[in-house]
Amino acid sequence: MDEFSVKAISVMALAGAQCGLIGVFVFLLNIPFIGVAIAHAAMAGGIWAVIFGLPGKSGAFILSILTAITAGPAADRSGTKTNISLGIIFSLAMGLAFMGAGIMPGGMQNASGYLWGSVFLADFKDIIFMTASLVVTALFTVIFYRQVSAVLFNREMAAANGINDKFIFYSIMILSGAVIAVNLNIIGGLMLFALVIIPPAIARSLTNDLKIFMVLTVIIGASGAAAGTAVSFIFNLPVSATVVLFNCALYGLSFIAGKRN
Amino acid sequence: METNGLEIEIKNLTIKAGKTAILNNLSLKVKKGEFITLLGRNGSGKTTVLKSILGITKPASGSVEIAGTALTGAAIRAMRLKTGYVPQYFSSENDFPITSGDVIAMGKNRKQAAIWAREMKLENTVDRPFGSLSGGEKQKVMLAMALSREPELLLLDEPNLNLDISAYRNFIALVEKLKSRLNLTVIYVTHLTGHIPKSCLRIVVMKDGEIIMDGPKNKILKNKNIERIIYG
Repeated sequence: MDEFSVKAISVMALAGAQCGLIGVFVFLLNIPFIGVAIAHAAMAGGIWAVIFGLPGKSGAFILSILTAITAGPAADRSGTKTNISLGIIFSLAMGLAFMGAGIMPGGMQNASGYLWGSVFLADFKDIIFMTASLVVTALFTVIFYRQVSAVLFNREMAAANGINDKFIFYSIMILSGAVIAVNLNIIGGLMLFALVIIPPAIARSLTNDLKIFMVLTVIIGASGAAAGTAVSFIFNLPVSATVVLFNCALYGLSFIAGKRN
Repeated sequence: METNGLEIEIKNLTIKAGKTAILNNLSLKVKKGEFITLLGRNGSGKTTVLKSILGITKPASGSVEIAGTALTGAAIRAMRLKTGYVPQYFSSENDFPITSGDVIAMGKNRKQAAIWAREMKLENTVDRPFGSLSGGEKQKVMLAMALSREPELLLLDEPNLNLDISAYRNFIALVEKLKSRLNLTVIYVTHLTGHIPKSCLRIVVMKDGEIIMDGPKNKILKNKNIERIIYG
């Protein structure tokens, strides 16, 4: 395998590990909408930044983070469920993105980049950002393990136990948003959705221990993304679609194995 | 471990959901070390009283004072650290990948969790998935978590809901033993007149967000119309 392929596989492993880690939060908080909501917010941010003559990447990043920052408090203040709050943000972002794409010449082409991404475009700066967001999220999870596990288990009970549930919950949302924003132009919103949802679903069928579940999810995320990318190179197939299908196949196998046990 | 219990005073508390009053100008005083039962049908506001004491539900007017300190800002967290809370439902957590030992450790830390697992004879349960436990075992795990925090105030929200009669009796016997040993203030919530613990001497009857009766257990339960008053 050439150096180019090895780099792409390594970047995908890194992306898979990060997506797996935030997948733990997304899976246990039952907020799968966060991936598509932030992906479309990034798309809107990128398009409107270009319309106003600013760098598209920065616009995408800023709006992704803003979405993550807003989603938690918006759900709390409005008294709605987080999924509903994310659904409304998703609708708003989608409306803004398509409005911008309609105004800007070549808008849809730019927009689709955020949905599909390209692992081959990852440069050194991207890898640094990806590594940093993985390290920060992992450190947060380890340092605040008791508080994080309590909030994921039952937020109200965590609050009653004297845990600052808002700080933990909003931090989870912001870190998830940051990870999604950092990975978006590399792996795209659609593959990101698969890499966030599938690894914890596989890990859940293998363990009942939260710590093992967290570690397994990260390992499955990294290895599933890397192996899927390798398969796409070996058989000369599109990377994103192959990684998604490969992970779906892994889930299918784990489901069958789980049924047998 | 022995605690001193906490005194609670709720003054003219009104809690609203939109324009509907969940609690309506409610006042209640609970003495240090007292064991009271909040009795009322579903939707009478019992759980909201507990959540107000925990500072989870924000008042439209009125106040909650714990040990003479108004429950605002930093005082809320300080009070929560002295409180053990056993909530009503656990069904949504059934698929959560966690062992019972880890649930108990959420209360304070692993050392305390081990002490209370032993104290409550849960040693054989700690390695099992929480979702696989029976209703009674789950209640015991949640009680162990609440007690591992060495609370001065114990709030029990309808602990009888998930339990059969035998498991319920065992659970209440355990609560009564621990209450007496640790001198806890206990507020117990139920909608069933037949489920008042023996050592609870005072009953507060709630209806439509208000207190309609408050007095000694024997006097309240002797009232021939009590069921009609509560459920009618």
